[in-house]
Amino acid sequence: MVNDDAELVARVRAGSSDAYTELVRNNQQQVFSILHRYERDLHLVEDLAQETFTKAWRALASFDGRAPFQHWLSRIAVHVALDHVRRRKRLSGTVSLPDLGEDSVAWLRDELPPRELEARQAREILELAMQSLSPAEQVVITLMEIEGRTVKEICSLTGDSSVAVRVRAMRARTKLRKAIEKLEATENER
Amino acid sequence: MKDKKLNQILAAARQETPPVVPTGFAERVKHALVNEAISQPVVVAFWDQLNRNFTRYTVAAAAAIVICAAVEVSQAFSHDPTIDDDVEQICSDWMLR
Repeated sequence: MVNDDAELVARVRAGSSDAYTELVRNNQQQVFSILHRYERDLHLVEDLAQETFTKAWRALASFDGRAPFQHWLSRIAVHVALDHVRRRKRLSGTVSLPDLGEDSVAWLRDELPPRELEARQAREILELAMQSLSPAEQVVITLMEIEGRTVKEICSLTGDSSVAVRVRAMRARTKLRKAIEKLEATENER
Repeated sequence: MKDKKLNQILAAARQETPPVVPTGFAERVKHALVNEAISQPVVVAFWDQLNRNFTRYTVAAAAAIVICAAVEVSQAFSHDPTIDDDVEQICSDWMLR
């Protein structure tokens, strides 16, 4: 795949737009997977993926081939996601988040066995709890704790120093813990 | 205790399956790029434009210089009064007044 991508990039640079379509096909699943961590609405994910590939097309001249194309593209996708989280954060005062589903509430109230928390419910709770985090903290905690990336990988994807990444991750975890405690307290009061 | 709950949430979120890419997505990206290329006016920087037409500008300037020199030389050989002579005459008349 890496060699294929390098070959396709060379063909795109030679003027083949079909090669770029092929390049999109090779990498679309990876881009959707990254962006889906930050946005649940599939239509919006598609818009963000399109924005990622458009930006990659425009910046293709700056791709020097030192890192694999996939990694270079992931970096663009992470920055598109960060911009999206920032926009959403600005609008958070005007757009209300949906309430938690019954199962998520039951889990928060300890009415469900711990293992029965499904990915969808975890996502619901996380989305609410993440509101207390800054956009950069949301991106770092998602890359580290959900995608399982190393500090070095996160530095390369976000362009931040390792100290900044570690500090953000630590702060984000503390804030998330507090936000979940608050959610739990709110649901128990109801 | 609370850390345990956070870890459980993160572990469950990790299990989420990635979405299926809608059919025809790559083609839609291609169309968007083609439309963008058509709708965007091509902006050429001043220096690029100058660089592109440099030979033409040089030839035009050289031709103008040659024509001016030829006119000047031809007028110098013919003894008709030139604009310079007229201006000189007007100046001397004004000073002697």
